Amino acid sequence: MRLMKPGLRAWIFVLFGIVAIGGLVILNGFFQKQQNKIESTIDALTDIKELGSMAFLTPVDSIQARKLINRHQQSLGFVKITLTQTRLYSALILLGIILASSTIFVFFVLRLSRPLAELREATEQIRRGNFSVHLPETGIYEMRALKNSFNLMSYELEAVQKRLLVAEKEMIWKDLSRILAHEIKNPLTPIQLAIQRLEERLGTNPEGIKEILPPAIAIIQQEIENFRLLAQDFSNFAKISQPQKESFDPATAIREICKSYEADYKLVCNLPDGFLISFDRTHFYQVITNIIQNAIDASCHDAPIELSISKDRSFIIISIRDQGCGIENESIHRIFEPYYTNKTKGTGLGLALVKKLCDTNRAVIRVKSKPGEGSTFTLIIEEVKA
Amino acid sequence: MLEAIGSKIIAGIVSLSMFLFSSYTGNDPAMRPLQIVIGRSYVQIKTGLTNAFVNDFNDVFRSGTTIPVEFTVTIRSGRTVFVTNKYTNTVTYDPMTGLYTIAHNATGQRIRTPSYQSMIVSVSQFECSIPYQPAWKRVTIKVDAGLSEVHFAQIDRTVDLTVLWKYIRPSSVLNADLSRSS
Repeated sequence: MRLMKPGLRAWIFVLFGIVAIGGLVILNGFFQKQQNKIESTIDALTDIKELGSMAFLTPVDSIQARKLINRHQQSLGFVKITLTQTRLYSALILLGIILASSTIFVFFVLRLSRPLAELREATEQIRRGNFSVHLPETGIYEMRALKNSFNLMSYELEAVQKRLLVAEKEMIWKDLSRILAHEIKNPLTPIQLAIQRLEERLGTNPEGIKEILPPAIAIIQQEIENFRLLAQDFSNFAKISQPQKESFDPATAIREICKSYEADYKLVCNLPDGFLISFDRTHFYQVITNIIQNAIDASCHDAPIELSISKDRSFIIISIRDQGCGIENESIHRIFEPYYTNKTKGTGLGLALVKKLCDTNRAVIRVKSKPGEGSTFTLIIEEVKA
Repeated sequence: MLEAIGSKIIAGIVSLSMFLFSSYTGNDPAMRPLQIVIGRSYVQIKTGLTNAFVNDFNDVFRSGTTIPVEFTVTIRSGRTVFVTNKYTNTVTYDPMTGLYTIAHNATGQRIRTPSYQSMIVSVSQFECSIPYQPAWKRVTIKVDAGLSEVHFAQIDRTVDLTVLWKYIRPSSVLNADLSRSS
């Protein structure tokens, strides 16, 4: 059984028990002692009863003595009953005081601790990022002041959060505009140059236009294709679909992807069969393609790119290692951010897409890199039992 | 019914407070089980008090004032009350002679004794006869006892003796089939 550490309330209760109840019990003990003294004194008065057995010589004396004895006996009886009443009522009053004081005490402790519980709950909300939580400023003065400070803090946090969101949105739009402008400007220049050459030839030597027309058209078509790819990149990043997971052998899937690159690049594969992963096939294709493309972009044309699959406990580890230029230490923690790129040509969306697709499929992507030596991207995916 | 529950709650609170905060023992009166004898024209009921006069009564009885002990007999069937009779046993002490006079008004019996113990035994006993009604079948017979206020004339003071029983009103109940018994 887990023992709970006593809190402030528990200590207050203990203190109340010691001071209030203990004090009353001591007081009661004192009164009881006094009552016992009175009782023993009353018992000492019983000797006068012997008067009843004495002979009185005259009838007047007898009547007088009878009256005195009766009076004495009635007084004794009365005092005895009153003493009993005192004992009984003092015990009752004591019980009443303890019950009443305990009730009042519990009421006030709960009244004091309820706002603290509210504050704790509100602080928890703040911790979770909900800055719109505000407390009603009620209760005793100190509690109202505390709640007021809390509310001021939450209003400020809320305002800061809103400002940050606006600033973040603005920054994203600025970045996006910069990237778009850059990416659009790049293909536009060759297109513009090709058209200028055609215009120039048309003005100076219209018959000779046939000579430069095919390469100019090829340049324009190539740059239009670049535009299409750019649009596709943005589109892919914007619309990541819900994963349609299925079980497949990652080695087979990677081999299929590698076929497109093998003619032009040196891919070294170590891909044992027999493992199964659960991943969206299209997402997997996008992830592996993007990492291979990234490795190709970072490497020299004849530098090998190694692809391997291994198993660690219940996880399948897919590694893609290049011997390219590597990534600088200050950049490595930003490479999965959207629109971040060190390449002269690129949108900075490739690795951001990889990260997002891995998250969507509950996989982990890691990167190790040394500038000048190359990078290793590692994909960690939970194995599926056949 | 409510009165009985109320008196039980009060007696419970008093007993609890005495248990917690006082070494005073007082008296815890109880009634002996009822005994009934059904004659041709009457029902005789017998019972008695126990632990009723153990403490604090000595000086009260010896005050010379008449001390009454009241008994109430109720015969009912369900909510129908057939009989509610009140009877009193009284004790009067004569300081000059040292004799106790015990009077049972239910039987008309009067006893004089110098012994305190004999007086206690006598005043604790209760016996009464109630005219039998043939309509009575399954009935509940209840006898309860109580003390009342007493006025000490010589010192002109009135006290409630119930306190000596810690506000307990002892009772004894018997469910009987009078038709079958007869």
